[in-house]
Amino acid sequence: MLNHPPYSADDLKDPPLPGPEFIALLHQQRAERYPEPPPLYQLLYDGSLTRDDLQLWAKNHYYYLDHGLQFSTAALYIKNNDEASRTHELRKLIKIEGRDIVNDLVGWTTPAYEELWMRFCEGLGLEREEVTAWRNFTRSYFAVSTLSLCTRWWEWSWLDGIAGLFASDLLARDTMGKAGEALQTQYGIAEEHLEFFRRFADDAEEDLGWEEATLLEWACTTERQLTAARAFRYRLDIDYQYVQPVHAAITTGELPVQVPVSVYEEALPSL
Amino acid sequence: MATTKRWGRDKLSPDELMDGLEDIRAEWKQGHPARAKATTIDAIAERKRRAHQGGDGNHRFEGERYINTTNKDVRRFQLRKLIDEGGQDTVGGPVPSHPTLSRWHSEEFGLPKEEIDALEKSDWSPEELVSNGWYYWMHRTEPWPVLLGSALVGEGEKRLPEVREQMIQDLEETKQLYEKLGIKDIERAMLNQREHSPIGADADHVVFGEDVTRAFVDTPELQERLRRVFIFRLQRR
Repeated sequence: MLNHPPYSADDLKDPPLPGPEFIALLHQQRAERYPEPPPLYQLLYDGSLTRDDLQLWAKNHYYYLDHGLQFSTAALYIKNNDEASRTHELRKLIKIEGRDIVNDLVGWTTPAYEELWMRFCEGLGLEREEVTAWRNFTRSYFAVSTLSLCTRWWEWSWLDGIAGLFASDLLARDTMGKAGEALQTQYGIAEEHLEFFRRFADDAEEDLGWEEATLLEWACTTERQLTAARAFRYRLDIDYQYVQPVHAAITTGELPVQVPVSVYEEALPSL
Repeated sequence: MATTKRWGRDKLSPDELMDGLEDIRAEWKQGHPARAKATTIDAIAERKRRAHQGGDGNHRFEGERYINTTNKDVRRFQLRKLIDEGGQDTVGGPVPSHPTLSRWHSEEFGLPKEEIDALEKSDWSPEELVSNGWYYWMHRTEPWPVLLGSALVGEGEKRLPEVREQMIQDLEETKQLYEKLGIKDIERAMLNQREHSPIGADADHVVFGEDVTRAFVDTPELQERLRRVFIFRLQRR
């Protein structure tokens, strides 16, 4: 719930959809709302971006991977009292924060998404300091703020949050593997700098199964379906909004508004 | 604490901070001895019923500690702790979550799965409601070094040699008791206790809690906040 009035008895008079029909509805809503990938990715696949364009995207996307994904997934983990799906969220956190965290336990070595993304940035010729000094586009910053709000507090339930993960992972599966291929074949980026894309797309694919199963089991009332579907749509909005200003900058030649200082500069003193 | 420094006004050294907290614990223990152990199947089962009532909140407070921590290295160690307590099997490791281990323990004492499910969905007692409510509120309102330092009350107690020895001795006594009571799968029944003992995953967590407290609870204000939380947590037991 954000500013929306509560659902009334009239809104809730119909019985819930059977699980598979509810999942089909989500896919249908995605196809209607966003029939195409984010326009930036389409330019990427077409081979239309310059090295400067790629650098702009890379710098702006780091904050999403370093903070947005980590914080929002952790927030959902905390509010989830269903152990079966919660353990999947915990595994997802390990993927985000680095499989090497459990190296002592299972021998995994892959670092955090943000580190893999930094290696991609380096493959584009960026210094790490350039990435953390970048002042994010304000709309991207707002997108992460909105995701953090909805996942952390009462705006989304635990199940709404999983509907959001489902939306985001569908998008990641469909866009990021393809992005990695384009970067290698059309832009000549060395494979050693592209591990992020394969990992991210594979991880998304792996998580879609439990996300769908959780929605099938728990989105079993009309109200749960209504709120979960809204969270599904909003998560798509958030992810599309995050990359929109990069596309605007590239296609108009003008930089959209940016945050006043890098999010990695020291925090403001408290009032 | 053999010092003239005052909480909240003077900055305590890490040793003074740790000693000061242990002084508080020692004083509390003098007036509040630990309750007697349950020694029959019925008594243990009854305690387990009360423990399951209202559900398990490990992910809530450990998760709050994780999400609030702004130091990336510390935060990631806390995530490693979430794996130990939320289930090593999540990533292919050997040990399931602490809530699962607690259920295994209960099942060995005759609580059917269905009863545990029902208990988890039932109301807390009023006392549990306000005690747990404070605990989660504290985790959403205190600075992260205080949150991580607050672990010194529970698992952090195992840093004390006498407590470690007692807990290791307890393992042997529990095993003997369960043999006497005729518990079928003693290993399964005791895994939860073993994980929480100084020879389980908690051992690393104890060191982590102390190290973080020494390094980051480093201003008079944070130290005073931790002192208050420490007292509240003792009073909550």
